[in-house]
This record gives sequence, structure tokens and C-alpha cells, in this order.
Amino acid sequence: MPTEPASKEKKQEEEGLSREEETRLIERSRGGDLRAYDELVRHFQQRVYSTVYNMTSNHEDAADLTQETFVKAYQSLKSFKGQSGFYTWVYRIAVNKTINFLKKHRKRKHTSLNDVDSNIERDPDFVALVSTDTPRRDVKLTELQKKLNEALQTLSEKHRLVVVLHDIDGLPHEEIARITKSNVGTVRSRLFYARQQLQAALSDYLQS
Amino acid sequence: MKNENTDEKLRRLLALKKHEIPPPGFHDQLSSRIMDQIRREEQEVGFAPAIRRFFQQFELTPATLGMAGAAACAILLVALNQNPPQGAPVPAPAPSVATTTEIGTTLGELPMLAESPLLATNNTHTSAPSFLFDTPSLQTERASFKGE
Repeated sequence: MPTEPASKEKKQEEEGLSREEETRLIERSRGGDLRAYDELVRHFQQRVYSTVYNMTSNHEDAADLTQETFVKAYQSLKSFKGQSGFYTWVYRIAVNKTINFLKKHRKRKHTSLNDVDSNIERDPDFVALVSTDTPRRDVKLTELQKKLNEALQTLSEKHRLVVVLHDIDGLPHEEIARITKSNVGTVRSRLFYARQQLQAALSDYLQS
Repeated sequence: MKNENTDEKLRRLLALKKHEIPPPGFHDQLSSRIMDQIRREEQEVGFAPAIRRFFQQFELTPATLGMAGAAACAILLVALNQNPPQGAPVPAPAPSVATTTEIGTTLGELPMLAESPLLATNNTHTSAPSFLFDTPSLQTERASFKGE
């Protein structure tokens, strides 16, 4: 069932944070200023949550892992050297936590999917999908959502990660390589393999 | 060409996942939860910083648990293989069945049986009463060799 997006949260996310502001907030947070850290959290939590959610396909797990990520990041702020952006650093913590979590709970296949916001009806990609002459012309939103999540869960954690970071979050290969501490070639090859798997799993939706 | 087309379609399909959003107000609650946990953990650290930092070093993974188990086994084996110190008295095994003497002692401590001739034995209780086990004792004499 589509729901309206939380506009306040969306605005917070869209408001930019300059490098100077980010550095200032980090310095204040290091000094124990929790209001400064709260500002940092509010700025990045949505993106971190979204990535973790797309990796786990489970809202409760994503919420817990995002919380753990920011608590861990606060406790480790002294080790943050500023060589990469704060966002990349926090992302790395989130990704490591999520992969460890998924490895521990590999046998559990419990999904808890979020609602789809009503804006999807105006998304040109979705409009194209339901209007083109495909075998899935009568596609139902909930069914499509379920199929997408199931297809992602068939991938290994490493392959799922590059697909989520690149095709859903829109990060460039170089940024993904920094986050996963691997090289660009590895990112590209994992992406290629993961797409092959997904194409097979979602073939009904990709035929024209 | 066909592959590129399929790739693009797949990318568009996956991009639809961006429309999956958590319940309204979730992110406000989440940041409050994060701040609460940080405050709580800071308080805990204030109470027992050394102990906490010590245990934070160890993350419970199968590898660390295995290493801890192996270390415990190694210590146990070393301890078992140690020779007992020289000259140390070997402890006598505990009797599994009470001897007649011990039974006699125990019964003798009871007031009504203390006077009984059945239990009239000396305090050392090294032998059973003679009338109970009246076996003829062997009379022996020292041999003498008069001819020598």
C-alpha cells in the first residue's frame, strides 16, 4: 500500500552539508557534544538505513544495524583521520556490520518489507515498466516489490552489496571500491556477475 | 547491444527500490534511539571503564571462542601431565565399604549399645571381638638346637 513520504525527513536529507560544516560537527562530536553528533546522524542516517535495508530486506534488522553503526561510529570518532569523507567512513562501518550480521543469520530468510511510497506512480521507470508490452504488463506493485527483494536475496552478500551501492544508491565504482576496500576491477566484475544472476531471476520483467 | 538494453532495464527495475520507505517519523525516532544508547553506554563506561574496555577488546566470534577453548584444553593437558612432586605422600584411597571395626565404633557411640558385650572392644578397635570369630590360635614355640 503506497504511503506519502515523510517530507520533513526528505528535506533534511536533501539539505547539503559542506565539508567545513562536516569537519566542525565532527570536531564538536569528538569533544562530547551530542547535539553536534545528532546533526551528523540526521544527515546521514537515511542513506545508511536505506543501504542496510536493501541488503537485508528487513526493516527491523536495518533499524537495529543503523543504530549500532552510528553508536560504533561515535565511539570510534577518535580513530577517524579524515582521509575519506565521514560518509564513506560511516558507510564502511555499516557495510561491515551488515555483512557480519548476514553471515551469522544466513539460514534465516525472514523479510519485513517497507511500504512503497506513492511517488512511484509518477516514476518514469515504473511507468515504462507497466506501459510497455511485456508479459508483466499487469504487474502489481506488491508483487514486483516481493520479486525484487527475493531476487536480491539470492545473491551472495558481496555481490548484493555492489548492486545495492551502484544500481540502487547510485554510487560510482570508485566510491564503492573505497567503501569495500577493494579495487575498481573487483567491483566491476562483481557487478557484472550479480547482474547476470538478477537478469535470470527477473527475466519475466525484463523481456520486451 | 541487447545486453546493454537488458542492463539498463535491470538498473531501472532495481532503482524502483528507492521508493520503499520506512514508516513516517521513523528517522526522527531512530536518531533519538541512537542518542539514548550513546548516553546510556557513556554512563556505563563511567561506572566501570577498565572492565568494559577489557571486554570490548574481545568480540565473540567462532574463531575467538575456539581459541579460548583450545587454550583451556592446553592448560588442562599440561596440568595433567605434570609429575607429582617427589616425596609427596600418596593419599590412601578412601574405603568404599565400612569395615567391621568402623561399624563397631559407630554402634558403640549409641548409648544403649555402648554397654553391650557384643561391642565390648578396646578403644583402638584394631581387631574384632574374639568371641565372635573364635578361631584356634596356633601355638608356636621357638625352636632350639641343643646340639649346637
